[in-house]
Amino acid sequence: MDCDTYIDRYLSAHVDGELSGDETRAVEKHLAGCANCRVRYAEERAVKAMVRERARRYETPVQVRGSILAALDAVDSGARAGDRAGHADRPGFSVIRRARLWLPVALAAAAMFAFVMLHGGNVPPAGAVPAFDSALERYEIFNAHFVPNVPSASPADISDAYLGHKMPGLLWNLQPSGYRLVGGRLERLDDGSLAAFTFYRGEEGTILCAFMKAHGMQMPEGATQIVAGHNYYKYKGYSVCLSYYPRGDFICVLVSRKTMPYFIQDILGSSL
Amino acid sequence: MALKGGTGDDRRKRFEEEALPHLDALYTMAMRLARNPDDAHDLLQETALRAYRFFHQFEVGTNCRAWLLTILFNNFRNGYRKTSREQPASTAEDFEHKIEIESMRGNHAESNPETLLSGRGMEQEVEAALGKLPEEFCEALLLVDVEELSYQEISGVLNIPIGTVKSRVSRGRAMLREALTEYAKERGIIRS
Ligand SMILES: [Zn+2]
Repeated sequence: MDCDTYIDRYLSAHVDGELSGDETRAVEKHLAGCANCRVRYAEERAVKAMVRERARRYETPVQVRGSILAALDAVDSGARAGDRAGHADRPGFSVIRRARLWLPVALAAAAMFAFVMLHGGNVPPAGAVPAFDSALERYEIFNAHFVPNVPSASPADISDAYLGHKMPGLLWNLQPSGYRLVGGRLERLDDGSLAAFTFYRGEEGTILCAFMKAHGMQMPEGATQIVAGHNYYKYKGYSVCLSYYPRGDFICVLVSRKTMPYFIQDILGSSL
Repeated sequence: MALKGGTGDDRRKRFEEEALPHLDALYTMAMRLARNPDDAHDLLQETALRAYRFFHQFEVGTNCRAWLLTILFNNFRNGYRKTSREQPASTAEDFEHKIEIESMRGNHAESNPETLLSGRGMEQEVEAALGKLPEEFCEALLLVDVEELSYQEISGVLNIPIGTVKSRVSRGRAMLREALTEYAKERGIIRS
């Protein structure tokens, strides 16, 4: 073996421990008699060590890690709901399946558009829906004065707090639509069940997201639009969006004072 | 969606034990490929979700990190590649040219003189040199040096023949050595 052969064909594999027994014996024989190649070998090892030790490594941000765990939760609960009901793959849940801690609403918006069903002009008004009333009542209070009662420094904090009380840990990301996450509150409703309220503020309005126990609640009649499993209602002068958490145990109610088209646009993200 | 490979809880537990310890390694690679935190987050999340759904396909006893990186690279190639980001040098000649310009600018962070062999304080230079490597050489080098995968495993991750892995590692490391030597000379660490 000559020096060029060693350097061109064997050096890096030698350093990486990728040579066969025969090859190793051959290169060692050459190195034993060649000081130049021994230096070259040492340098090659140094370059490898430098990459190993000096190349930048990133720690997964807490928020990213939290969102991945939340997404795994969504897969788990989707699978369980599927085992029970046999239709976990229906399109309405695709958003939550793909969910991260910050639900990427814009991401699925284009695909969702295909599911938009415009109901005719004669939509019956939604009858009284106690869950909506609970959400509306809070929405008005929070608009006047919202004080978080769970750690709200980051979405991950809020998510953790909700999960710690066995509530869904998924949060909507309404940032693309210009809303800032203000914070989260856990409160008991009149029936004693726990509800999670997440409040968002934008330049043109506010949105409240309420996760509440489903208690077997059926989708009320009178939705003005249904977009990928999210039902939109005009209710007592507010715009309301209702969807089920895949587990089937919870409902998600979004409330806004914006008119319906703008509300839907906010929820689906600015790309629509 | 039918669950394979045991109950959901069992899958979750195994996934957390075997796959999640590699999350930082995956995130690091995602940051290198996607080049910004938002896209890296998307890429990482898609990778984790896919790995979780197909975890029954992971062969126990094989290298989980290699398996996860395979999914990450596939995801990246199938849609996360961005066109707007700065293109790295695409040929060896480009690379040398960039290094030359960089050396003339002399804009590297100051640090204590050390020998090239000990390599202390070379973080900036290593990053700068890696950043200018043709992408495919850089990927191969990171997989072998940082992720400590075998050539065989890298061949699977990048979906290329093992001989190609070997030549990319070899050429990539030679370019890197040249660049680092250049930086070291410039800083007076070693003489030409
Ligand atoms: Zn020699």
